[in-house]
Amino acid sequence: MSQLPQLRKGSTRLLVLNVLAEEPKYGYQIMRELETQSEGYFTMTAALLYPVLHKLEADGLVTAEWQEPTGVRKRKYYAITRSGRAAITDYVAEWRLFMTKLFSTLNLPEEGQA
Amino acid sequence: MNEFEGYLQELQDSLHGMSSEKQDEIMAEVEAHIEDGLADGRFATTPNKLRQELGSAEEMGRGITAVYTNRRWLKILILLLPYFILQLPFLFQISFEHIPSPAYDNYVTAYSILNLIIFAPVFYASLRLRSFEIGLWWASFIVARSLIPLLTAPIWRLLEVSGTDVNWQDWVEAIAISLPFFWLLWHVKHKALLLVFGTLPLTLGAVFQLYQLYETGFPSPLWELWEYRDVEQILRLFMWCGVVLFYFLAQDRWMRWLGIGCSIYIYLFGITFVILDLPRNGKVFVDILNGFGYDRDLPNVLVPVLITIWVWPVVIFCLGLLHEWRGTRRQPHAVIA
Repeated sequence: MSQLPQLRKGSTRLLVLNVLAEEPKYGYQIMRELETQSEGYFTMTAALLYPVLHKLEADGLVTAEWQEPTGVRKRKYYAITRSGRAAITDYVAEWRLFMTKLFSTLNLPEEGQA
Repeated sequence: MNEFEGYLQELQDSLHGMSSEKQDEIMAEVEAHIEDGLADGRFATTPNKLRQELGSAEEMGRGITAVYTNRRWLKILILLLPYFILQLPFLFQISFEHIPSPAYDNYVTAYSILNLIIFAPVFYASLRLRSFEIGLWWASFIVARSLIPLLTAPIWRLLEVSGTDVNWQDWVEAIAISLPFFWLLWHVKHKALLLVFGTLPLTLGAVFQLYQLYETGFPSPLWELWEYRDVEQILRLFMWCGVVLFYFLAQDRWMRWLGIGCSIYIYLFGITFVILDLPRNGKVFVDILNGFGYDRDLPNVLVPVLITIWVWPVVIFCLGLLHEWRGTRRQPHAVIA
């Protein structure tokens, strides 16, 4: 049984924060951007995305604001906060450590060391 | 959008228990998501594909609800629990009149420091919650109940609370307490009606206080705790708690209108006494609120005032609890095309 869904789920917060690192985006845009950046590897349903976005907002890692640019429909834009950027660094460090320990435990060479 | 009607309905149902404003906001966000998907030519999104990408409505609703439900009760606790603890000396004082209370007897110093000890961590917690309303609420209390009394204690003692020269303190305190409400009215426009009516009892209190200052040249009740004793504190406690509970619990439309009705009732009730009593005796109602009614021949006035102000927040609170417990099934979302 593939563990990929669990792994993807575990990395959702990091992936979403990373997508928002450049500029504020709305929900649908985040989904598509993630899909494009990962060449279709990371896809997520709205059912997964929106609870994560609201949780990130509640935790102060992103802020949300309804905007209605001229000629465009009203959308809720999410923007990363300073705490959000710090969280990216923390999550990346956690993932690095996790991968290093996993590979060393399995006695496998890490990527780039083979 | 018609093919998504069932999905939106399912999502709406799964959001039950959240405030109606939050539900509307989430529904609008998901509807915008669907519209974006249908209009997006780059990814050739068909309705079927879009439906798959949405995932389970129930899962989304459950996930979002979990984010907000617990925090709402946490906010209520952060607002109310410290305030009740703070008022315990006064509650004991009125229940057991002869038991001395150090916090009460050394108001200016001990009580202000006690306030500061309780307020500061609560203020910090509200900042951690990133709740500007609660932060501002407690900040105003820190200023009004701790910093101003501590900073002005020497002047206050020097004057021995005998004259009207200390009135500027009341102005500062009144402004400090009023600021959160002006902010809320300005920034939370869609709740303006709720807040206006919810804060009317406080507004009424402020009007009385100003009336005292100008017409009678009498120092404010807040600076006369020594003489005004407990009733004013008890009233204040219930009024503040009532407004807070009203704000947080009456978020559902049904509860909101019930709350507004209660507020109108209590406001008209108070206004009636002002209109009837002020021309006859300028300070009658103010005195009643401050506990002096006990010594006057007005028992039939004092009792209904006290009962109304005490019962109102309790009723709102009980209905709020009942509402939270039972939940409500809302009507289908009106925006569905």
